[in-house]
Amino acid sequence: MNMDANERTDPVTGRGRSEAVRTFFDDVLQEVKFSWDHDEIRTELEEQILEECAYLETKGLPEEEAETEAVRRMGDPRSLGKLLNTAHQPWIGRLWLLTNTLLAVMLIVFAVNLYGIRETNDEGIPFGWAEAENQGVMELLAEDTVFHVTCDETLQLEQYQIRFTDVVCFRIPADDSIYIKGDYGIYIFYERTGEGGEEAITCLTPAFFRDDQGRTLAWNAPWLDEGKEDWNPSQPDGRNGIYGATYSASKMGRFRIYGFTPGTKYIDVVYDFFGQRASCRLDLTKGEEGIV
Amino acid sequence: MNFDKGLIGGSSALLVLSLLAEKDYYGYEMIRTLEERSDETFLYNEGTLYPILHKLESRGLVVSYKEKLDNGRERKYYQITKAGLAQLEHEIEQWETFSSSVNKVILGSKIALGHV
Repeated sequence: MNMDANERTDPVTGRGRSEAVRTFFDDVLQEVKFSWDHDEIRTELEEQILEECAYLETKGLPEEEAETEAVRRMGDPRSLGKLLNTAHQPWIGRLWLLTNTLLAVMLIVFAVNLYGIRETNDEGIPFGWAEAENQGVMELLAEDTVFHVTCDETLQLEQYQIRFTDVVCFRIPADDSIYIKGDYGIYIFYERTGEGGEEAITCLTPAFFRDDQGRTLAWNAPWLDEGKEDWNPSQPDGRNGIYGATYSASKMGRFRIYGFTPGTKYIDVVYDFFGQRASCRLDLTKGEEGIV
Repeated sequence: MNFDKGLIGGSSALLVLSLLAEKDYYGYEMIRTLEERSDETFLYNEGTLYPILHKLESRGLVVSYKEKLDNGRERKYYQITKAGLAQLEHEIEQWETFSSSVNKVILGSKIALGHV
């Protein structure tokens, strides 16, 4: 049963609630902008005060003095409220926006695939398409590899660090429903440090890729090839040159982009982590073999 | 002893995650335990523990759940996640490296002050 801290009497103990307690909660919650969490915060802090009161009363303090002292020990309410405010951001609104954006992009991709059209849309996406979530790992043989660039570029997003390690360019070996034989694609391999939950998965995919000609690809669909074998992009040879990246929420993965234009000198990978922008430039002119 | 707030603030997550690695705690219990374990060296403003816990929860390092008490109240417990355990390992490693490095630097001054 949750109590309303603004009631004059605690419905559970029957105790009167002092002005100090009521004022404390008013001052704390005034600083927490996300009001949906107010009840939860109030209940938890009230439990803290009540336990402290009970403890102080066992030390001999009268009830009213114990309550005043318990509130004092909570610290300055406005400072506390500001700290709580940083921990209670309105993520629901942002998640809603992100979900709608992903849905819109998925509908565009579906429409293009349906009609077999590979052209720019109104938002200007001529660069190509990132792999959708359910397309799995494509077997990649050495003869299909065009060039392989190792890089060591890192960017920092709060507690996460993303390190790009390799870029591999390949030619599509055969036609299928989506890919056109002879077209170019690239893999961008990365490692990520810093642990996180759902936030990590949904927010650490790039907002867009942009090449040196200003062509952009805005597609935020990470694919999860969990359970695949370990990858080794430094050995792209042999029959079983499968570029399967083991992707987990905390280790490494890859992006695969089709419609890559030969001669591209660099690709910027741009992230938008809840409004915090960070980007990294991958230089493609340092490849072992020239770009076709 | 009054500590520089920066020192305490920087290690708050480490302290909280360390406790939760042992068992689930609720807020008041955690504050009391921190005081006792540190021989009252760490005396937080009691309210400031909660923003730390809520931030850890928003980052997926801990989760919370409620238990109903006999008196009709609900008590909110916190539990460390796998991600939290991994973060704890990382923080311990960082702390050990940091404190070792500081100790090496201040050794000279300790000798000069006659503490060693």
